[in-house]
Amino acid sequence: MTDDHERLAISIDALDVAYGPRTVLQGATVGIRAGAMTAIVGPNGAGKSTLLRAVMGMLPFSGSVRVLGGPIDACRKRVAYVPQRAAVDWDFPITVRQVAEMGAHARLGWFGFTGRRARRESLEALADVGLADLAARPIGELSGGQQQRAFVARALAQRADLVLLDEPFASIDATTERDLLDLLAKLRDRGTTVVVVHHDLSTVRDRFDDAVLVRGTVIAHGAARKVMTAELLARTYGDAPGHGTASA
Amino acid sequence: MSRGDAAIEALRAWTPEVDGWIIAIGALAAIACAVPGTLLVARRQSMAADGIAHAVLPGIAGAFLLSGTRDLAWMAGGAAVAAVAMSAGSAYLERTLRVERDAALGIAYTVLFALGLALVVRAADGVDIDPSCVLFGAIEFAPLDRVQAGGHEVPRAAIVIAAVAAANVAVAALAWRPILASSFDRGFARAAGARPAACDAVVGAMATATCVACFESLGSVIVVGMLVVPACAARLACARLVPMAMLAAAIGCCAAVLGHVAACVAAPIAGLDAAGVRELSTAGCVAASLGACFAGVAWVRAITMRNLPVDGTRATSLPCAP
Repeated sequence: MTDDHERLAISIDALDVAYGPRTVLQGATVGIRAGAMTAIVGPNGAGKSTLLRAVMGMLPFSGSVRVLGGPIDACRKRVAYVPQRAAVDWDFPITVRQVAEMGAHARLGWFGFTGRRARRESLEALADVGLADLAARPIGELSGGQQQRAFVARALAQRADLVLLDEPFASIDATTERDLLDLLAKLRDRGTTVVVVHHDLSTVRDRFDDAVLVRGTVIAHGAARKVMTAELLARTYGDAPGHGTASA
Repeated sequence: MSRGDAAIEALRAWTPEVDGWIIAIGALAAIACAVPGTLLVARRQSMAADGIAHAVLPGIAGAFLLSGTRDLAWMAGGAAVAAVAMSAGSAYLERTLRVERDAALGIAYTVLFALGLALVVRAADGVDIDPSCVLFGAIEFAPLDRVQAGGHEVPRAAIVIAAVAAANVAVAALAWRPILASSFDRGFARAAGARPAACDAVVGAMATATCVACFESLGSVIVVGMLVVPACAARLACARLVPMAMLAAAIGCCAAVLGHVAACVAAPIAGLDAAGVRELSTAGCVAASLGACFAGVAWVRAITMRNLPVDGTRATSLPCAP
């Protein structure tokens, strides 16, 4: 049991989350393996984003959530969170380099004389994701895929052990999604745990190590090839509308 | 004497002790407003600038009625209480009654402003404060209220506004990184421990302090223009916050100079001096100049954008901005 816990990046037990009178997650229990790339899938309104936000301690919940072996407040610097695109103000006057620098500041501290170091590390991270040439450009002028790359660079600059991405492939084309998945796989290969809220079921089996099926609770979790079965997907999606590319 | 000669004569009558200080106070107000104004505009909270500028009135009037003085500590304290009341009131309307955000702000600050005007009328017998000064300021009289500073007599308004401008720059420099993160990506900022709610409070406090400092000189209406218009003009030309704040300060300073010149020469040029009107309101002319500056920047931007190649790389700001 102890060994299992040591290998888990996220350990969630009997998690309940409610928005006012509406219960979104009830009794969710799941362990997410360290060093794996995990997809969280489920229909709209199933509680996938809520699960991530609970992990980050961004909303009240009951139950137990342990991140990297302890409470989230003890390891925030080691966790990079990328919210949904709609939650970001893309017209805000900020450059790609400044976005990547946020990751370095999250690790080095929000105050203090760390500007030069943060700048150097952010430029290295941008070079890693192929955005070095666009470092001085306003973030709002980049394509959706490039913007997500900038967020991956931010996670790299943060040197995070755990990266949580909430629907990073929304509004981007299939080619860009493939490139981004390659980038995330590279991140995983470096030892980072990657957790992605994902909608495209056709890529889960091949591109992710593990999957967590969510619909108001955790329906199933484990190796993607074992979990993405017709029976479990039917239980997860049921008659939920618009789950699009389900192929299992 | 022709109207042109009368206008030149009006400018010749300038004195550094009065007109120089009027322009200096206007320019200092522009610099003080540039930091919170830029942040509010970039964060899409221009309406909050309007709200704060109006909502501080009952606080200032109440503090005056209670203390009987215009001591800065009383004014700032009253304004802070009123600003917090406005924030709490609009947040209550927004969250509990699901009123749309700008509408909630509009309801909260108009109620507070009306209360403030009622208090000002109540205080009018106290002669030190009157409704027209509250609305449009009295920058023309600001150089007359002087205090000793470093062996020189300096207008009190200049010292107060300069102190707030310096405080704004210092606070923004100190809290720059978390404010930037929480303005662009609140979810990340919250997750990464940048405390976006505290950043909101810092920006609100800067705007409130600036409104209080500029209140006597510019009035509650014109200070909104000084907060919002230069920052909006600068946003048209800049892709980063620091150049945007610097350009906003420069635009505000230009408007302060142009406004006072216009206030002095407009009356003779328009022939109003024959009717006994020697000068127009400087604060009003500063506001009109702000509009002219905005139009000028928008025109330059339109020309520049038209000349850029349409190849998918067209910038949303002027190419020289970053």
